[in-house]
Amino acid sequence: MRIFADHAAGSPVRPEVADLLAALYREGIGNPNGGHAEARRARAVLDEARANIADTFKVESRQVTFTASASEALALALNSELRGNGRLMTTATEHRGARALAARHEAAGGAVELISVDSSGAWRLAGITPRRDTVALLTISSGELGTEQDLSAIRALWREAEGGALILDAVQAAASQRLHFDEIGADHLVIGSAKLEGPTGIAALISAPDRRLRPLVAGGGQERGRRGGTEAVPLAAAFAHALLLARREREATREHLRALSNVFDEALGAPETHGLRLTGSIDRTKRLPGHHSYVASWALGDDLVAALDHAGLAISTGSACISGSREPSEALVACGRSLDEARGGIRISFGRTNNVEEARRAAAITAATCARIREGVRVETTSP
Amino acid sequence: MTASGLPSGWLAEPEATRSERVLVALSGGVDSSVAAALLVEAGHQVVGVWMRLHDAADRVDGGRKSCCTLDAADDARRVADQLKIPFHIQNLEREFAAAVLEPFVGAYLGGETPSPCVGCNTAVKFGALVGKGSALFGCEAVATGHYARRAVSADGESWRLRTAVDQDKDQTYFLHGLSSEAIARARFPLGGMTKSEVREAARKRGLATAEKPESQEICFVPDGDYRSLLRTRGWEPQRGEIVDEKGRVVGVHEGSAGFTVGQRRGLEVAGDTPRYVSAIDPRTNRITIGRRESLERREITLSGAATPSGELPAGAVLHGAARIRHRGVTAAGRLVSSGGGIATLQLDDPLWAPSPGQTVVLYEGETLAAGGQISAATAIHA
Repeated sequence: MRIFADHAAGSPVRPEVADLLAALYREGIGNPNGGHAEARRARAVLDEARANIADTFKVESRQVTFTASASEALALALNSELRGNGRLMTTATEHRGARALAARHEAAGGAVELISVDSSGAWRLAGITPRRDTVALLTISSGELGTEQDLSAIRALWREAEGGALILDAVQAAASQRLHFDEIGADHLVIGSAKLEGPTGIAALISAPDRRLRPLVAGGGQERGRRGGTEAVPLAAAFAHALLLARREREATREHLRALSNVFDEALGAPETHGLRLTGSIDRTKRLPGHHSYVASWALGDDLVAALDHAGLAISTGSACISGSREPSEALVACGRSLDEARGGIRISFGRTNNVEEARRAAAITAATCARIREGVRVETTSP
Repeated sequence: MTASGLPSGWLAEPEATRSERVLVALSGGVDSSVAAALLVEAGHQVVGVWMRLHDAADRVDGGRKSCCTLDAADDARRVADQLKIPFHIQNLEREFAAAVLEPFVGAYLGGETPSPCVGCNTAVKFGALVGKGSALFGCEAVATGHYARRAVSADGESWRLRTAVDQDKDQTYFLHGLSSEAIARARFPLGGMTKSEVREAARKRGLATAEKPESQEICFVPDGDYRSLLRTRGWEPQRGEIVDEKGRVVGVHEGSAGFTVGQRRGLEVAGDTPRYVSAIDPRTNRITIGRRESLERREITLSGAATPSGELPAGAVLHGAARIRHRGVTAAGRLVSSGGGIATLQLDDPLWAPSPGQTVVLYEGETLAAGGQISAATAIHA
């Protein structure tokens, strides 16, 4: 039996959510904008989804804007807050989508300032002085390194300096942390469905009541004029349902994932015995639960992923890259890894549906595969 | 020589008698697609890979017929999906740069003609990829869509390449650098088929690549303009003299690395009879030209001369039919080894325009007995 341990990239849709999705499509739920009963029914489903999501983050429904992806929600927030010559503050460990937005801003003449990180990927906020017009784009828990950041520190820093808009990416964090919008102190929070065992193709931007959104796509006034395009009602409902279930089971899931991580760590033993080095935080309480990341200096991350796939274990490198490229992971470089190590990153991320036996087998497969590849490398470099 | 064209002591490769774990290099073209399909149907455990060899892969295909764009990777993935085999992209950029790109640039800058496909087959496809296939997937063999067959010695210890049934498509010339061990681990499922049979096999199976046109160009020079590649690699073309065989200056050129021996195009010299590049001296940046017949050679000096089983000892003589170009004419002759990889090819009939750097192979019947590179000495001592 194959083991799926790439939940940080997106979990399979859970059956209850798939059932709801199918039921809504079968019911014929369509365009919620119209003057007839069918549209009103769709509108009611959409309103309920929005209200459920709002309730989870303790905001008003009108603060929730649905988008087709978390990347789009990030872009929408930036488009609303960042002017052409404005200042953007972010980190080198952000995921590719965020880095691309920062690069585009810089190319257009804007200023980009990077918050450095320590070897675990945690923000180094000492000496950071945001200006009134500084817009920050930060990920609460990095999917690549699994490091959970100190939200209270960034909040205090931003309040004290009266910095500009604070945009936080909570796509990974929303599955495992209680996130109340006002407590976080963000101006915008990005959440997505795919990492919550919900469908892909739906995400949302939660914004403070005083923020005005500038739409990326002008259209027929949908989403209060913030995003053109007919709302994907069944997807929104499925997203809300997945979030509700995740929220209800949050503590149990966290405990379950901690247990899986312990089993995996114990079965694997010291990573160094397999030629691996741990990345992210050594302190498991400062990591996303169920998240394990390593680097190997003797293989490309893509090759390790391929070999493990062949051995029946589905994992990833953790950094979305052009297929098969040799580009080192910028996040790993920012954490002080060598270029060879930064090309050899892997991430094993368990989810709610994994069991203890799978965690144990995943460790055994990882150990055996590393041993085989390292033996191959040894033969290759010592043969004439 | 037997009726099959195999020299005595050599046998046709035996049919596989058990299921093997085979890595197939899928290029995204029809040949490797069919090769993979045949292996799957024969009951082997097949792993499909597409090799990322250079950054030309990042460019959009734009309708070009190259095997190394991401579109080609998509085609390879679709075929793997149709065949229900695992598919992975393998990065071999570093190996490709060392074995193919750098020698390619170095050859032109040194006045020689490179053989990039030979280096790629020897060091990348049947070199590094074999190691990766074994280490990552436990594969014991690597298969490609090359048109070639294999022959094994009667004692089963040594392997040679054998020409493909389809003589027009035979690719043993490009594979000559494979050692006996590499040939033992190579699989060429298309060796017994003609191109039209392969095309038909792809159509019959509904493979996504069945109607894909042939790729002809050097894969990392998708626009066919190797000179612009040289420029990106630091080549600064210098104007130089074109001289005739008596040393008289008859014209100028815009950079000797832009020419190869046997080239006619781009020579702006007066005269009625066609002239061809007969020698290139990168040190003086001078190109020598001559009439067509002046480029004929009966004696060619080789470096790196070897059989699949290793270097030839001094004094060894091999008889056979020599070829200096893919699909070029062959000429009967003998290869006389001086040891150390140096050898002289003595031909009964001349071959035209042997170009230093290019590959020479010697066939014994249908088997490829030896190969090497035309050395610069050929042009100088002509």
